Amino acid sequence: MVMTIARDGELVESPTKHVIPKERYVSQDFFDLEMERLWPRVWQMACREEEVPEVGDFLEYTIGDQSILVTRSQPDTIHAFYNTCPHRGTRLAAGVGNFATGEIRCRYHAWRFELDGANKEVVDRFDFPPTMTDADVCLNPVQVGRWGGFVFINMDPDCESLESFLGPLPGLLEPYRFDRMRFRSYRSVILPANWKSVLDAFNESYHVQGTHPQLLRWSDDTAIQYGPLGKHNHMGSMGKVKHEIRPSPRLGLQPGDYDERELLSVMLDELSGLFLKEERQKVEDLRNRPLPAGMSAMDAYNELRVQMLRGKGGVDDLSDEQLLSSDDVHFFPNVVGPIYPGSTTLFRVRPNGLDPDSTIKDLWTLEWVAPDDDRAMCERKFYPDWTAKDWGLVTNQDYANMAHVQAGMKSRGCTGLRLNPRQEHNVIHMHEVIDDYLRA
Amino acid sequence: MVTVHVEPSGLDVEVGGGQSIMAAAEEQGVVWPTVCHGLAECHICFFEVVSGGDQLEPPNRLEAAALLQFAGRSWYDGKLIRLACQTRVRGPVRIRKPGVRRGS
Repeated sequence: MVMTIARDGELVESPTKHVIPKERYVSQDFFDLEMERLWPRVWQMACREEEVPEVGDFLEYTIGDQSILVTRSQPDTIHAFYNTCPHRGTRLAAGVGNFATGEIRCRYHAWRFELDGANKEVVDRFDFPPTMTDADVCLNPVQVGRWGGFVFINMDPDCESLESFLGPLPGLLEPYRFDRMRFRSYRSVILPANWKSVLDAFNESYHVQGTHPQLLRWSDDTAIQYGPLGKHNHMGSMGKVKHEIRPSPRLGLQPGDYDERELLSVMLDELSGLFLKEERQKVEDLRNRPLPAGMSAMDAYNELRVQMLRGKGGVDDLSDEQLLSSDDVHFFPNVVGPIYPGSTTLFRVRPNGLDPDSTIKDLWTLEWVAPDDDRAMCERKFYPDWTAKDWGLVTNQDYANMAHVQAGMKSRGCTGLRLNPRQEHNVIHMHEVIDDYLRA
Repeated sequence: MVTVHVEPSGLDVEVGGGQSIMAAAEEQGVVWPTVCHGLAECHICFFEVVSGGDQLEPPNRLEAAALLQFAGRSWYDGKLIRLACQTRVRGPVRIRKPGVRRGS
């Protein structure tokens, strides 16, 4: 494993082998190379379609110091542009909203543009030289790709197709019907660490025994398999364990030492944010009545879960097995999270401006809705100081690590990151794919 | 020394003054489920009091913080839960902690 680092703005091979160079997390030079060679060339999840539902709606997606404007120009057409007026460079719009007049008007000198980016008016164009073409005065386009209700952007006009970039993901994730999901909540928080430090915390389960030991009561952290999916990564439980709830073997417990119903109940309490209200109610119901003969608590819970999901309709072609599956996926480069039939919690991390030590983490909770449910977009909440809110024990534990890992890597005594080749393989693979972009 | 009787294994642990139940158990070759080994972080050593709860010293600051994680959980409603790695005892107590066994 040879990784790159930056020296005087140039990409060079790290002299340290078999470790991840810490510079990749803490050096401004390396961060700047990512801004130059990774982010402008890679497909990124800019938003969900339901964030720009009506013609004229816009959303500003930012990455580093770059701002991209996503617009819906027709009921089924979405465009994206660099958020800059071709006249003087003025940023055209900020945040989210609707161009109510059906056009984009620059606030400074009132140049006007169609929602598809074409120029509509250069005020007093007769003053400008004839060498200024129509192409010069339209908005500078960015590639748009759509999959599963997500809107992706790519700044590289010669990029591979989104389909090719996503590789095996759409096939694997088809049963989760992302296109049927809508936002339940949207929260953003600033964390004091490199964007990769934040991502890493959700891309491996090796840290569970160190950071979240209380979870080992009901989760077998040793049964998780990790593996690449093209440029992306996957983390999931092996076969039978998917349908079992049992403590980690690290606890040394034997089958008679725990009550499945207790573990199930504690799991739902501890991860309540990941479960739907109806699911928590199902477990309460289980707790209060004897189990049918020959049925484990997990079997009974799974039966209830399948009934609940079938009740929502539109899943007739999915087997019970599919309805009970779950997958943790890392969408390269910067989105990761657990996915269940019916709901998902995705974490999108982005550098906070040009600071290698600060990250914006967006927490998207999505859930299936009925076809006739045209709910309004949920409120987006922003927390500039993560310590100002109680995120629940597990998330608090993860966030509390962030400043420590970022500060510790800066120590003169830190000689690199020694990752577990199996349990932290997803992190290693992410670095390899980053290097593919940086070297290209 | 004070005797702590542990169900369902039926083991008796003799706990000295100032010692936690888990530390005493480990000293006597009894394996107690834990991952953090006494930091009150993993909560895995928790037990349920069967009788003699008034013989337990009140929770220290670390334990009190950890017990908040049990307080809101309906599974533990009406049960007295304590952490074996922190709890000190004044007199005999019967507790329930599956998975406690004599070490090999």
